[in-house]
Amino acid sequence: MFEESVRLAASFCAGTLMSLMGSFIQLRSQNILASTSTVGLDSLSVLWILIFHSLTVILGMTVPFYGQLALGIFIFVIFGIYIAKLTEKKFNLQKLLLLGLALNLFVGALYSLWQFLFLAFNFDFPTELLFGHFRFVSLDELFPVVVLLILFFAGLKRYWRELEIFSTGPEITRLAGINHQKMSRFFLVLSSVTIFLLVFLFGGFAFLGLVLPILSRGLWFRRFGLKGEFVLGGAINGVMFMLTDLICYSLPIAGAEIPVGLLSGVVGSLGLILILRKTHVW
Amino acid sequence: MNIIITEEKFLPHRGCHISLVLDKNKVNLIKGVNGIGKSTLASYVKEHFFDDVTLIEQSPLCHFYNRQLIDIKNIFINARPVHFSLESLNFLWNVFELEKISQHTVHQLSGGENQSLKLTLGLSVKNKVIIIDEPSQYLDDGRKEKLSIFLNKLIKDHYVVVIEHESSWLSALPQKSAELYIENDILKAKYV
Repeated sequence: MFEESVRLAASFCAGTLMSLMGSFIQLRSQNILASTSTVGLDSLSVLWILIFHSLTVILGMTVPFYGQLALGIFIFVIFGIYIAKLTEKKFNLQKLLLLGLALNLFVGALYSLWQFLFLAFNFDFPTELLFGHFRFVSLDELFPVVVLLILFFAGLKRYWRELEIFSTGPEITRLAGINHQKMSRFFLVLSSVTIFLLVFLFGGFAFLGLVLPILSRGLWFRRFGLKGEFVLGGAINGVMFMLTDLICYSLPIAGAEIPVGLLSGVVGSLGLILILRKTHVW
Repeated sequence: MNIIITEEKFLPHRGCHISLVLDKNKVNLIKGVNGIGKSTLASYVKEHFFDDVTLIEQSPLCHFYNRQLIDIKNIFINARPVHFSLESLNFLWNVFELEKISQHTVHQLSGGENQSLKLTLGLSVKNKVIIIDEPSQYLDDGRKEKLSIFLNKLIKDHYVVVIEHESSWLSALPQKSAELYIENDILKAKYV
């Protein structure tokens, strides 16, 4: 019962975090196609974990769990700061989205090649990195995501004024003379660390960061405003994701549990196609 | 008030050597041919004198979140901009008849209504220098006249800079006009 509760809590936190990150990235870029997946943050996390894993295997090193965690957080804090600096200048979002998609393809292909080579030479390989799951979650994995969720909500409370005015558009934000750079930096660094941690601890959940905020915006923004999208929508998306994982856990197929990341990848990518269609991209 | 800009790189030109002498009680007009760098100059001034300058840009307001005008007004008030005047906001809100369309969303606005909303919000933030880039675009004659009356009050306490090609609608106001020109690929200004 305790293990199941930890699993439920972890999947709830992960779902809520993905929704919050997606909402922020879309608000910041003023574009519904922006998410941690489409700008390539998920792929970069996978790439870093692959490189780190390969180095430890080749050098025969054993790095403790918290050591790996700390090093990854350090790298992705720096990366988050770099992204924040980049977005402070005039940058082309379309270019970034294309770059992100190219990176996704590159990392996907590299992952398969790496897997082939590692298995051919009988080395240990993180086979479930692309499709996340919560099968072996313990308190060690739950603790960091709870801390991140608390940080996210603390950030929302601290920067609500800036976030709300920025949601009216960059022109109005400039007219009000509000400097949103601190707020943007905080959430971009937090998102960068969060996506690394989710991939490192549980594996990837492709496209959920894109689809979940659109869902919560469509359902809750009109009635409850930005709080509806971020707070209510985030929490409901967390519960939905938790229930999806619970279904995967309760209904094994031929005795094996389907990773919730695999299911979310299918639903998420389908959702992306539907969104593209609805927004008249073609 | 003097604004001196000496930049070695000022795209699309090789540089910029400009000395603007701004006066109160006058509309400080900036003129120049298309593409010479008037809006770039305005953005430069805003960037380098962030806390002292209100810049009302030329581009229309965009709408990622399609809110009603009344919500935008309330969010703007809650953002508590420095030097914000609720009195001016409400005055312009009524003058431009935005109350009638306060339940409309931003994407439903016509060009003139969008421009009116932008001017209402921007002119309520009374920084020392207020730069308005092509304020009359999309406005009908009635709204231009109302804006001209408001600017006449504003110039008493603020340095008002207007970037405009066609300024006949401002003819009732005292003016000081600077013309931008290029010399050896350097952007310069002369008073005419």
